Order: sequence, then structure tokens, then C-alpha cells
Amino acid sequence: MSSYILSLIIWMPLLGAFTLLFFNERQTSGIKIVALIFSLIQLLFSIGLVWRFDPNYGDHLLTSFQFVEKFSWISMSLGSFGSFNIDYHLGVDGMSLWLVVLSSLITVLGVLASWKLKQQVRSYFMLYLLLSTSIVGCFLALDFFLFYLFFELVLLPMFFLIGLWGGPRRSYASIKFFIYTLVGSLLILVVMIALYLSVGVLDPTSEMMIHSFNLLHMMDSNYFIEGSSLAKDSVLTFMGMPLRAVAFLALFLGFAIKLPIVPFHTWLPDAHVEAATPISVILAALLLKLGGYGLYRIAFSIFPDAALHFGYYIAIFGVLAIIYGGLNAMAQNDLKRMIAYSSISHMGFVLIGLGSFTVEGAAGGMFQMIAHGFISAALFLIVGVLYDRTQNRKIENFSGLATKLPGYSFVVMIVFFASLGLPGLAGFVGELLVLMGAFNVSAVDGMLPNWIGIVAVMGLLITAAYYLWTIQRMFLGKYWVREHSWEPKMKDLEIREWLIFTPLILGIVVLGMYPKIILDTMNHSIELFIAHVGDLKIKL
Amino acid sequence: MKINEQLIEIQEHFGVISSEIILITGSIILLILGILRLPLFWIKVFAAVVLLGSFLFAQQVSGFFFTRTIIRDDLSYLMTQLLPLITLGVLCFKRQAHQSYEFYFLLMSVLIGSLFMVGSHNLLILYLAIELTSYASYLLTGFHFNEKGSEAAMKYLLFGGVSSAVMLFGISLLYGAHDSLYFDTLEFSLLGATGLFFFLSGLFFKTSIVPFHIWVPATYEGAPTDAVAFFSTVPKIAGFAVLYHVFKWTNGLFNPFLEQLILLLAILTIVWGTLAALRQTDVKRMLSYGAVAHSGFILPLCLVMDTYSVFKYYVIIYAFMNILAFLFVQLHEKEGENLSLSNVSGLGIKFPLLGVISVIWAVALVGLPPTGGFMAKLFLFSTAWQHYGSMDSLYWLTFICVGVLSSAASLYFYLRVPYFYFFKEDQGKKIKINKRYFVILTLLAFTLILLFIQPNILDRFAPMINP
Repeated sequence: MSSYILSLIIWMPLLGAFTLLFFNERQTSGIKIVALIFSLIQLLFSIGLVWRFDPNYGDHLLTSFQFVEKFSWISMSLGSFGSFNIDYHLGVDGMSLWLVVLSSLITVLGVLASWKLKQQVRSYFMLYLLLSTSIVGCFLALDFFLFYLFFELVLLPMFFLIGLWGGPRRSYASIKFFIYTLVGSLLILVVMIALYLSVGVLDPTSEMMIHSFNLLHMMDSNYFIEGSSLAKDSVLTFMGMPLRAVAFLALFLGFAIKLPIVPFHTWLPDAHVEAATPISVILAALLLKLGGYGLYRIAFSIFPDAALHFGYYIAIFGVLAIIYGGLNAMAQNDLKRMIAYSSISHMGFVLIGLGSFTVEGAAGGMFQMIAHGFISAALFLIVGVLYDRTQNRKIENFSGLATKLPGYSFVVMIVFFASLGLPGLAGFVGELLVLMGAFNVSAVDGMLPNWIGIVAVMGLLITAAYYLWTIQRMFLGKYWVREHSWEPKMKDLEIREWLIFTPLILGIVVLGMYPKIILDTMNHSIELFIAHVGDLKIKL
Repeated sequence: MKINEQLIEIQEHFGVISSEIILITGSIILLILGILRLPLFWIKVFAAVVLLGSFLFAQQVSGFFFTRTIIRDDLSYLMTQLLPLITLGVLCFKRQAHQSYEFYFLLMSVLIGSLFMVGSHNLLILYLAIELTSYASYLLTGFHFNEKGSEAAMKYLLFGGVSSAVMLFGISLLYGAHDSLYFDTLEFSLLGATGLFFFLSGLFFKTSIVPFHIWVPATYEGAPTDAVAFFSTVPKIAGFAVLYHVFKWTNGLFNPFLEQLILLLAILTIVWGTLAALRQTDVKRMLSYGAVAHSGFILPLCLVMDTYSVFKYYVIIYAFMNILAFLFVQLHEKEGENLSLSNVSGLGIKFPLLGVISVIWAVALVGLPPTGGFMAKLFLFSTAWQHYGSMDSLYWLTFICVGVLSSAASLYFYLRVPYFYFFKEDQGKKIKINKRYFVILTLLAFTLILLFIQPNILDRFAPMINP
């Protein structure tokens, strides 16, 4: 199947960024229109991708990728390494498909949300489009090197987008974000090198070992060189642990910092709070998903044996994130900070889903990521609406907004209830599936004890508590705002804002009412994934 | 061999060192042209022509020459190609008051010394070559002729003098142990090991390995920036090439002790350089500690023999990054003043292109994609991992871990220049930069990115005779 649709999806925003070079800094509306057009084209292509996607393709995880593109990119010989080969290798399956759609949709909405930007518009949109390219590139890369390139490339534009267009403590937040995530990705780098040197095929003619960064080879134990450092039979240990387990932990940590898990989450509230609204949206809706996707596609798929070994602890980290993030969210008086902590709490479900090693759990985790993409984007936009009008987002400064801003309050209610997991809205499905997976596995082989599911349900209560409390404090009761000067600015949503919220609300409702759309396309890939990961379950 | 036979041999071998001969004659003519008061611009042009000549007429041969005192192999060919080009880059720096024909004469002398360092196969020749580079370097350091410059030059001279004395002591011990001054006659003996240790410390001084790095920050701070760009590349890379040769001849003799010692020093250098750089506000001082940390990365590459192409790749990228960074710094300097971070505050609005370039060199020095710096680190860590995997040596693993962590830490200080450039308020400082430097900077930055996208193009630069 030769088609360049994936490349088009990835490089379209970058093309837009190059187009912006020909614009003058003052032609702001032209710049915005170009950015919008290119991100819309990307969205159209990804919708086309869904259209042409075959949900039952392939019968093994390694052969289930569609629209594959593969070219040799770098090939150089380096002395005793044999040759150094990097491919430009793309492909999509049921897991990455929806993340691609989500990222192109959020990119478009982000452009709309930045429509009122006034300072340094050109640089902003160039960085923004570069960011979009690298995020989608991560979801579609099937070569570890290519993945890593995109993964790192996310950091630079993000660093500047937070640091230049953010709030008062933006420089601190951007540096913190950069260093935290860089530590994570350097851990991934080391594992990538180790995997590269452990995976390879013998060239029959020249008898040279051809190493490659091909992720599919890394997932297949047949490609591991006998006696290499990360082969299944490797005897190397690090501090008493087998090297494969250490490599898995390094990958897990690298991706989990991005997700984030609890002890390494502190970059997230700072970055979210200081970033401008559209950037917070991208951060929450897409950047966190890079971590989750990396766990699915790389950490778990390459080291299923180690993953199974640590499944229990991973689920514990998930529970910890749910409870700790929830309690923290309840304690915040800044609306944006509260939402940032609620993101941490929701991402905990992804870890439990992964740790359960069941189809339900894994599908639930994946669904949770997509649903959270919609919900968190809407949540940060909600904060943005308030902040645009008053430059303030303290919860105690507002009261009874429902009477004055009915449209806005309607949106807030739907999104808050979706986030706290009301049945019929998007947040419910993922959490339900994850909990089903967790309870299921505890019934079958006791890999996860029952209490994990029970505590996670408690976490849902905490979520409900802080959302309802916020609604009560900010939207119900008598209308009142702290500063008198805010009064004339308190107007309901304008058309542009409705335009942004409508697709998100539609997505939230449709995903909640009819999750089949996503689950059906994803299911086959998740089954193959669990079959691949759980393959070893029988042996152990 | 009789004397006249030796003379005939020497006569026959002159063609082999053609690039060095071009440089020697060229620099003498340069001195004469300077005395004749030729304008500096033409002096620079002449120097460039000489450097290009030595680049073009370098001979790719292999074997021993001049009664086995000069060695020619892939490595020395690479150096005769690379070092004149780097010097050419240094010629492109902004015009400042200290530049005179003597300055460029001394620059050429260091280059000649460096080329002889790499080509020597005899301890005495090596010693002479190192002294040549050292003396010229001491002079270059003081070319500002102010208090700071003289202090830096004095420090450099004192440390250099001590280390060269120690090195000479080591050489005499080696001679005592083996009765020979040639590299390839080394054998294992306790006396030889002691001698080697003292001898190496002289080379470590040149390549700024901790704890022989103390001269680096003061010298880099006090010396003219174009001289600093030169010090951090040409003599240093030559020093590493010599280490490469030395370890090639001692191959395995003193292992595992020597390997462990080298790795320990490398780790120490990386840690020290990174930590010390974190708190600097003077850009040149910061880059100097960064350069120390980079020495720690290159050092293990000299040790393992099968990594010629990785070594080559790393030093070329390193040279590019440093020339770009120091050229960038020099363009922002005012005459006779050092550049501190606050001087570049808020310039990003006025010069967005320069800001982007500062991001590129900073990211390259940290070792992140999409720059050649990332490929260099990737190859380096691949080599290290391969050695760890095959030997299960904890030293290599520690080296990898420390290297990776220090990359994360170094992000903090390297990124401070673009950080001040973009994130800080403009302080109304006026800086004029000639348009043609934009072109040079852009070209260098573009090359760094190109070396990431297509690292294979370096295979064609100074290719190996039998790969």
C-alpha cells in the first residue's frame, strides 16, 4: 500500500511554518489565517485517514500497521558497529489513529483560541505549527530514532511557547518543564542505544551485523542478537536487577515523567498555570498523551516480560496519582491549578489500565487518554474564557456566574460533569473500562489485588467532590465578582468561543453516548497488543 | 643506518609533510609581509590562502618517515585536513584591536605545533611540538595587553611550565625503562607505567582534563575571544589525537588499570565541568567549563581503538559547535570587555535570527536533536554501551549514566544565553553587527543541522585509506 498520507499529516504544519516565513510580522490576520488553513488541511487528512482505516487489519501486533512508509534515511558505517541505519518509518494502527485525529483537532482549536494574540504573532505560530508536527510525528513513528527525534523536538517549541507568551512566572516554569522532561527523555535515549545494539540481523552476504532502530524488530524477540546486553537470555545485571528490567524501568520513568506520575509531577502544575490558554490546552490534551502512548507502544511492547513483572507497582503508581492528584486539586484556589491537578489524577487511570494487562483495562486506558484529550482541552479553555475577561482565575473571586453567563455556565456544567465521570459523557467510559479490567484481573489470577480498584473508585468520589464544590462556589448562589471593574467585561461566550467549544462538547457527548466509534476501531489493535504483551503470561 | 643514508631518506620524505612545510614557509612570509606594513586585511587573506594551501596539498600516505620520528596515518591526515580549516574559521572573527600580524603568526605557529604533535612518533619530537604550541599559546593569551590578559597569560604560563616539566620527567622515565623514545617500543614495566602516568599528565593539561584544567577558566576569560575559540579547538583536538596515538601503542599493556583510570578521569571531568559551569555569569567562562566537560566526553573515545570514525565525528562536530559559539560571543562583545549574560538581555526582539542561532549552538552543545551535537553524543554513548555490554565493566556504565545526567544539567547553563536573549527585558544596550557575519553564523548553524540530517557526508571528509 503506497500512500503518503501519514507524511502529509506530519509535515503539513511544518509547511505552514515555512510559509509564515514569507509574512511580515505585522500581517497578523494573514498569519493566523495561514496557520488555520494548514492545521485544517491536517485535520482533513486525518479524518480521511479514519475513513480509509481498516479496523481488522493484520493478525499480529507486528503486522497490524497500515499506511506504512519506509525509506532508508541515514546509513553510515562506523567501524566495529557494523553499519548505522536509521529509517524513515511511519505507520498507524488502532491505538495511534485516534490520537492523531485528536492532535489535529486540538491543533485547529488551539489556533482559534490564540486568535486574539497580539505580540510576536509570527514567531508564536511558527513555533506552534512546529510543535504540532512533532507531536503527530511521535504518534506515527515506527522507528525509535525517529520517535525520539520528534519526542525531543516537542520540548524546544514548548519551552519557548511557555517562556515567551506565558504568565508572570513563565521563565521558571519553562525551564522546569524543559529540565524535567529532558531527564526523562535522556533515560529513554540510553535504553534506545542499548536496544539498538541488541537488535539486528546478520547480513548474509557480508556477514556484518546490521543494527536498526526499527521498533517492530525491537518488539520481536527473534531479532535480538544472542548474548547481547538486552536479549532475553542476557546475564547482565545492574544493582542486582536483570538489565531488561532496568531498561524497562528507565523507559517507564522516562514516559511517566511526561504522563506524569506522582513524585515527578511537579513540573506540570507550574507549566500549565504559567502557559497561555492554547498552550495549556496542547500541554494537557496532547503532551501528556505522548507519555501514555510511549508506555503502550514502546515500554510495554518491547519489554512485556518486565512490564508484567512490574504491573502491580505500576497500578499502585496509578492509584497514588488518582488520590494524590485529586486531593491536591481539592486544595487549590486557583481554577487553572485545580484543573492541572485533576489531569494528574485522571492520568492515573491509564496506569491502572496498563497494569491490569487485560483487554478492557488497556482499551480503557487508551479511551481515557482520548476522552481526557477532549475534556482537558475544554477545561483549560473554560479557564481561558474567564481569564480573558478578568485576568484573574481565583475561585473565591467569583460567585453565581450562572445567572450572568448562562451559555458559559452550560458549557462548564457539561465539561465538569464529563470530567467527574457522569455516565453518558466521555469521562465515564474510560474509567469504567479500566475499573472493569482491574476487578477482572483480580478475579482471574490475582495479579492486581481488589483494593486497587476500590481505592480508584474512592478517587472518583474525590473528583466529584472538588468539581461539585467548585460549581457551587463559582456558579451557584448570588452573582458577585471581586472587582467592580470586571463588571462590564463579564459577557457571555462570543461566536469564536462557541466555535471552539462546540466540537469539544460534541466530542464529549458522542464519545460518552456512543463509544463504539472509537472502541470498534481500537479494539483489534488492543487485542493484538494484549496478545503480544500477555504472550508471556502463560510461560511464567 | 649511516648518516648520509639518513640524510637521503630525510630528503626524500619532505613531500610527506607538505602541508606543514607550506604552513612554515607561509607563516615566515606572513611575518615579513607584516614588517612591510601590509594592511591587516591582506595579511588575513594571505593567511587564508596559506591555510587553504596546506589543506589542499596534504598528503594521504601511511607509514613512518624521517627515521621513524614522524608517523602518517588516517588520524594525522584527518588533522591536516581539519585543523587548518578550523583556523580558517578563526580568521573570520570580527575585527578587534588586538589583531595584528604577530597575532596571526602566533596562531599559525600553534597550528604548526599541533600538526607536528599529531604526526610525531617520537617522545622528543612530541615534546618539542607541544612546547611550540604552548609558548605561542601563552603569548596569544596576553594579546589584550591589559591586566586581566596578563594575569591569564601568567597563570597559563605557570601551569603550563609545571606540567611540561612533569611531562619531561615522565619522558625521561619512559626512556629509562625502555631505552627508546619511540612509541611502539613500549612494554609493561613498573618504571614505564610511572613514566607513562607523568607523561600523560602533560597531555591531560593540553586537553584540559580535571584535575589539570585549572588554567582553563582564567585563560578563556582573559584571552581574546578568537584566541579562545582557537585554544578550545585546535591544540585541544590535537592533544586528543596524540592521546589516541599513545593509547594505540600502549594498547592493552596497562589494562584494566589504565582504562579504569581514564574513565574515572573522564567522569570526574564531566561532573566538574558541568557543576562549575552552572553558576557562571560570564559567557566565556561558562563556555570554558562547558569545554572542560566536553573533554571528558572525548577522552574515552581515544582509549578504545575501534572507534576512529566516532572520534572523528565527535571532534569535527565539537569544532563546529565551538567556533559557532565563540564567534557568536565575540560578535556581541564590546572592545576590551567580556560578555556577561545580562549584556544580551532582550536582544531577541531586535535580532530574532541571532536568537535562533544561539538556540542552535546551545542545543548542539547540550547534545539534543536536531543538531549534529546529538549525533555525536549518540555515537559516543553507543560506543560506551558496546564496551559495557561486552566487558560488563561498571566504569563504562557509570560513564554513560554520568554523561547522560550531565547533559540534562548542562541544558540549564547552555540555554541561559538564548534564555537571556528572549526572556529578559531589553536593557537598551546597542550592538552593531555587520550583515556578513549573519551569513557566516547562519552557514555554520545550518551545517550543524545538516550534520544531523545527513551525518554520512562526513565519511567523505578525510576518508580512511583502508576502511
